[in-house]
Amino acid sequence: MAIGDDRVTFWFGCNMLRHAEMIRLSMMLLERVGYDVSAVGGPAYCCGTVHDHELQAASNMAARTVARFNEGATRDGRGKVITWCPSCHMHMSDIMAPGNATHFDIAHLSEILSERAARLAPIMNVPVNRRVLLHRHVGFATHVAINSRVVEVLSRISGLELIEGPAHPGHMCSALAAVPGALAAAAEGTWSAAAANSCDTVCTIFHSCHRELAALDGKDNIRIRNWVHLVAESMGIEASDSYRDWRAGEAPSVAAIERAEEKRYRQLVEPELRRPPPLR
Amino acid sequence: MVDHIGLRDFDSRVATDGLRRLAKGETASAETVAWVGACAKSGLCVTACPEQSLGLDAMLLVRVAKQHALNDTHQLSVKHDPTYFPRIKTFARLQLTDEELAKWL
Repeated sequence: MAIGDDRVTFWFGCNMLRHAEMIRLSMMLLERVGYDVSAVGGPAYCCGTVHDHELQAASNMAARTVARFNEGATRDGRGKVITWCPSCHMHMSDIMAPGNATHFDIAHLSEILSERAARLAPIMNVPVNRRVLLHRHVGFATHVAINSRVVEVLSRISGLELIEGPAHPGHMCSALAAVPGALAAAAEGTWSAAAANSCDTVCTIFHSCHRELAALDGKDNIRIRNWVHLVAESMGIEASDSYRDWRAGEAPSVAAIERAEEKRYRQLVEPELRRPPPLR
Repeated sequence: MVDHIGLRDFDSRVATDGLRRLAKGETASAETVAWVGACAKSGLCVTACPEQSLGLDAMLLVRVAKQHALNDTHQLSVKHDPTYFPRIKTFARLQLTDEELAKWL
């Protein structure tokens, strides 16, 4: 292994800040397979992909983020940036890297974990007795064989029966939201396949799908988990999921709401948490 | 996605001609704009494109066309959400530790 290969930046993106546990679990998994991890994300590391209507601003954000990754590579030996978000990954590959000089490589978390699955296997020693339908999309395969990579990891979990669900359009559910009927069709396709296959769990790969399907948690006795939750379970690690629980009707603690400022919570968070599910 | 926007039987040559027009900053047919606007990044166009062997990335071309439809021909309306980052930050403050907030917000 070349010097610096085991020092990585984990770039989790913007919207993953809704899912703190998933960020922490991803970091933990990277550490367990031997990486020294520096996690970054949020608005300071915006890729700019949501700013197609403000191209100069998007370009500036992209250049700033690339510069920060370059600095991490040259000053800290973090020559590999590991992505979570498929939008960020594709934007880096297609727009940011061609438009800016880069001193780092990128890879997706699923590629890294599947390549080092042998290191995970000895610690994935707790049976996870679930019958799981994997919620999939056809997109992102242009850049990463995401569905098969996640299957490679999940198939190492003892006790877990894995069924690959129908592959829906788009790279993740958020891409479908703007097209009338598309998101509901994807949710219906996944849920009916889970029910038809007598699954007790639907497993999401990406955060945006998790965000949408979380509202269905418990419907027909089917639970929602993300793939990193399931890997953590196989290590005997508690993998809580606050977003799912809030979306399914629970509320954050009073202390957490006060910390986030109650007015902002009521105006910005509650409407999302109380939004009707994509499937009745 | 074409089924969701009623373009299943639309002439693909007209659609791709519209792509070329948008990429040059010229207006395109309403059908092409609808197709571009409904792109969900499935990537199926990449291998379906007969010009792929010549290096054309059809999904990237659709992306560029969409940017022109938003910013130059204004055939797609901008859906700017000023609450996008404030909402993410509020979710973060509900969950992150002080150390995480200092690093990530």
